[in-house]
Amino acid sequence: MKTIVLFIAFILLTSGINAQKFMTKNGYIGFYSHTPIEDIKGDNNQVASILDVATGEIVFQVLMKSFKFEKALMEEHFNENYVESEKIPKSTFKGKIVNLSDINFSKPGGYKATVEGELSIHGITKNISEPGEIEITADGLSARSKFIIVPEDYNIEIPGIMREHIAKEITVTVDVKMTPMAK
Amino acid sequence: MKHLFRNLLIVAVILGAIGVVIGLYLFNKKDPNLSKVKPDYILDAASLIKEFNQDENSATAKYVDKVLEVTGPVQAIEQISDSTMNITLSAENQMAVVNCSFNNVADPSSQDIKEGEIMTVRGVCSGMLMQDIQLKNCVFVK
Repeated sequence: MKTIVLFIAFILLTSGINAQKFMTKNGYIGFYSHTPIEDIKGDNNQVASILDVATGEIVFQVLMKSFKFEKALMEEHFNENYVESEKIPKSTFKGKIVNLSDINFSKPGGYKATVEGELSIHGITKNISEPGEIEITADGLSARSKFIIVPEDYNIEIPGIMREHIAKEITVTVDVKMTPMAK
Repeated sequence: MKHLFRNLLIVAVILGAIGVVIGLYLFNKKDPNLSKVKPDYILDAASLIKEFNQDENSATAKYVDKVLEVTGPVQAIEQISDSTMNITLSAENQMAVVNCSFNNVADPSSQDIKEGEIMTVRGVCSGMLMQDIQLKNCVFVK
């Protein structure tokens, strides 16, 4: 009898931990293009992200129209000419932390993480694998990463006249603070 | 004839100068400050959420890139940096929220916003993401 109670308690306890998910609706993703002619920076503070601690599955979603730029014309070019936000309004990433066992989600501190998965921009999906950091805090966690993408990989065509204004490699910065998801 | 040519030249130079000024203005134009912009739609958070969740395509066509003035109870306040913050407006019996992004708020803490308070926000709609409606370049409406 005692064993059964313990067994049930164990199942309940571990399934409780397993069900733990973290999320945010206010995450940050930005990109930066540097050329001798001009620097272009887009910022999005409305990134939605969910991390399932049990499986290491992590999802990011952004609305392309929520990126903000220093100049209104940059925003217009970005949405209308490059990523075609009317046709393809969202970008997503679906992937997994591959070194999940290295991260102790119940112990505050910084951990290195490698995330692998599918990044969809402009309707084109590519497999990527990028390093990042996860910091466990008292009330949640932060996840950060910085990596390079090439616009041409996502069929983003840059006309000759603008080619000198936009870098061949764009730096993407991810910085999200997540809190436990209400069940 | 000589005068005509000279006058045409002057007109051309003036038009050219105007063109350059307009071009520079457009090139350097910042995002509009919405505090003096008339909204295209005035509605409450609940109706906006309902409309998007019933038919995302038609609501997208109707509201995206438009200036909306949305009223609803504040669910959460997230300070992102010294000048940027997000406020979510909720609706009764709805999981979804209206996520309002403020940039260039001189001192967000001075706004003294409380959770649960009814608030009106003006912003440009950028669409729906995971059931939530997003507004950007938001300003407070008194």
